[in-house]
Amino acid sequence: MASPITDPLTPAHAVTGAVFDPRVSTVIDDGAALTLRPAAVVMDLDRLGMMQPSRLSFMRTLVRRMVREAWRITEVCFALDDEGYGEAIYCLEAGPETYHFVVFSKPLEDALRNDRVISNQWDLTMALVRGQLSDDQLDQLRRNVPLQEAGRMDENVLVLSRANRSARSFAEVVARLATGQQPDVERLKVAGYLCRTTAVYGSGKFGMAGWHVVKTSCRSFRTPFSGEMFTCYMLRHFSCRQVEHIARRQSPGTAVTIAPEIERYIGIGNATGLGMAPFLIRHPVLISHWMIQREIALARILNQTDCDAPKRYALQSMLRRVVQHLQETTVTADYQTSRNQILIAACLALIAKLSRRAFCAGLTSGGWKVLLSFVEDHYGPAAEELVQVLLFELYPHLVDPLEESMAAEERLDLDSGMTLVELLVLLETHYDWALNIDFDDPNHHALFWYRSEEKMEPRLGDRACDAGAEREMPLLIALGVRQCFDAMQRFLADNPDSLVVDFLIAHPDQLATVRRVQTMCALPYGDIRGNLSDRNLEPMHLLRAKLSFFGVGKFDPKSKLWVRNTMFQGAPIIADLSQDLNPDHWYFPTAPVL
Amino acid sequence: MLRVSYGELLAQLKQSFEALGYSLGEYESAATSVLSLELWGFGGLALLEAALPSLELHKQWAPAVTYESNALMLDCFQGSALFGLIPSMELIYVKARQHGVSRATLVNCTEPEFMLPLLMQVCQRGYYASFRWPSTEDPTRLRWVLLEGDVTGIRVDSKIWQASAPLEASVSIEVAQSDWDFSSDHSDPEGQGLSLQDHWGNTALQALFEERYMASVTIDPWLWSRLQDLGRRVLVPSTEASRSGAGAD
Repeated sequence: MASPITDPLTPAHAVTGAVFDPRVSTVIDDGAALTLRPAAVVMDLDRLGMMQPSRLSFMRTLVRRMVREAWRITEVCFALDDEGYGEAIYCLEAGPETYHFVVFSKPLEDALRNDRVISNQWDLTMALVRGQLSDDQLDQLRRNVPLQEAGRMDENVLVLSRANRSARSFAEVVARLATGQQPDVERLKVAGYLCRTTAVYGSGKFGMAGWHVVKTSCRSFRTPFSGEMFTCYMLRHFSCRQVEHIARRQSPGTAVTIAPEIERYIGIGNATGLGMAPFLIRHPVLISHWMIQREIALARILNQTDCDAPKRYALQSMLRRVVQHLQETTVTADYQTSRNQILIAACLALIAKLSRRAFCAGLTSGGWKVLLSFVEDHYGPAAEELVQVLLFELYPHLVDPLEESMAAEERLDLDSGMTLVELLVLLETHYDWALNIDFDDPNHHALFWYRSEEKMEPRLGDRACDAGAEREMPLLIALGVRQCFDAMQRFLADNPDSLVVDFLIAHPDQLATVRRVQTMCALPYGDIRGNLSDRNLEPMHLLRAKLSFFGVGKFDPKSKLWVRNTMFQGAPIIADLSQDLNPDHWYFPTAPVL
Repeated sequence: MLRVSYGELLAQLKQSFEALGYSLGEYESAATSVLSLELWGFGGLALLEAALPSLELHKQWAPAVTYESNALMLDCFQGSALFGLIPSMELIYVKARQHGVSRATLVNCTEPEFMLPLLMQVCQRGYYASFRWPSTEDPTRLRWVLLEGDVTGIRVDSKIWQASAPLEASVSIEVAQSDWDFSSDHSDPEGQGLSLQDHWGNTALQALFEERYMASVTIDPWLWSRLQDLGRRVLVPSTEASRSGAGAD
């Protein structure tokens, strides 16, 4: 396992710990030094918008654990009427632990079906509960879960979520099943799910168990977002049973169940808006942790020298699979279609390259570094990000152990005894990307983030024309660094020998920036290198980065501000969990051939 | 009474303090202080309830800090120790680093208990801290507690303490690299203003804090509602135009 990060190029600071050189970062891994990619590359906002789901994504991690630990999921109650309204309860037995997934299905007028977080009615509402479920608890859930944010849960509830039926696929699948036909795979390529979730809450909201409780007392869900991911997995299962049920009630004589091959190809839809973005800014330690594990995985692989024929063939095979996956992906935004086309072209070109003897000889002598360097030079960073996660698939033993290191305590430490000159140097060295932004240019300070009165939904405003800038959320790290830097320079002019504490007594409003900078200098993958107030900001990049850690696919931006995507498409179904199968054969899923 | 998780309470406190006009660093620390005192049994929410009226009336100034060498005087102007004291506390710590020990007197301070979490952060860097205040029953005697940072909670001479009465408005603080560096006029705090719960070893103490952390917090619905009302001040009224700033339907 990797040990704390050190950097041989820069002396470790006395209090804040080891400090990264911003150009190159090194981690000691089983006694050997691994060179990680520089933060300037990894945390660049545009590149974050190119991230792909990987073996370390939370959905992948969860499914591996479910199979490895032989989780047993049974239906306890399935009380739906002819239209599929009612409730269902499933029991999860994971080793010594027991949980229950409870879902309520209610009628909803088409006009009220809305993906936005500000909606207050849904087709389905659901909760993941730990332990046994008493009648009293179930009554509490019946009263509160359908209310979502307006309800109150208790500390046995781990996750709260809701979903809507897909207007594109739900009714159509029911109709086909009722007439004895399987769902149309061509249609599933367009919308690979029956229901779409619009919010998944955990971490202690609305009275639920806090993250600390989940992490320490729920072994099955001890890794970040695993409870939330499991809830979506169960929603996927329920949605399939629900359409089968409705079809059977419609036409008992002819209805059929979904073939396993097709059920695997049915995922869960998800609609995500700006709400994810503040999380990335407010949890720099956690984000750094996630990124470091990915970078360690990559660095371990780049140290391998076995770029032999079997591995190259496997890579070619994966690239073909990616091509098919992208060809089967339908998106509405032209720019995303264009990006997918470019990736397809890159994959095809690389497949051809990997068949050429001279190219392969270069890999044999130079290793995967040569390949990635070639890919970036010839096909761009998006292709490089893609090939990286494919390489992860070739070395599961180097990647998978890192999944246990994805949690981190969000704590920023202050070193008040540091000289102010030292802090100034740290800012200049590690936050040059922020100091290079000209905030006097109105276009670089055009947008502001705020919380709306409507369910505290995060929104973006334009300073030139929108109200609410005086209540903006403190998410502009780059601007904060600029302001702190300027204040420090002024202070140093009169107090050249001062310490950080002297500065803070004069400028207590700079506490947050100083604490963050001092902590993040040792965790360089924590801060996203972008200006979140820039007029040309692409919030989608932030969403894509976080969603890639979740493991979503079929990324389908509906605007600059929200995106549809698909979860668990291709993943093992519940019936598969007890089988001796490879739980990882569902990356970049492709349509089944019946 | 209402039960909320620690995470939910922390998020609400941050938002409420932000609405009072404090900066990010200050309101994050203040929220953590309230939560820590609640976790350790010092009644953080009750102290907050006492402090809220004046906090809502006017934004609190940072204390006036005067010092000579490693002796400091902090005047809080009848303000709560909830806000503005982090830089001062850091100065006490830095002076202790430079001199081995530093002493500070905190005067005109309401809810000085909120200093305890800040002192714990000093202790977690390997220092010792003591906290003294005059006894109302016996003015010649000082009450005294010693804090060590080897667990994530208040530990007093291997005992855990719980407040039974608010502290006085004037307290003395000492921070030292070693417990030998403290002044010799310490008084035994046992039975004085802080009620001794029990003698605890580190393992048992850690288990106790863990147990408390695992439970949810009980809060007066009135206080919760007041915090929520405060927090709503950071929200921006919704308009049709603003809805488009979050994504289309």
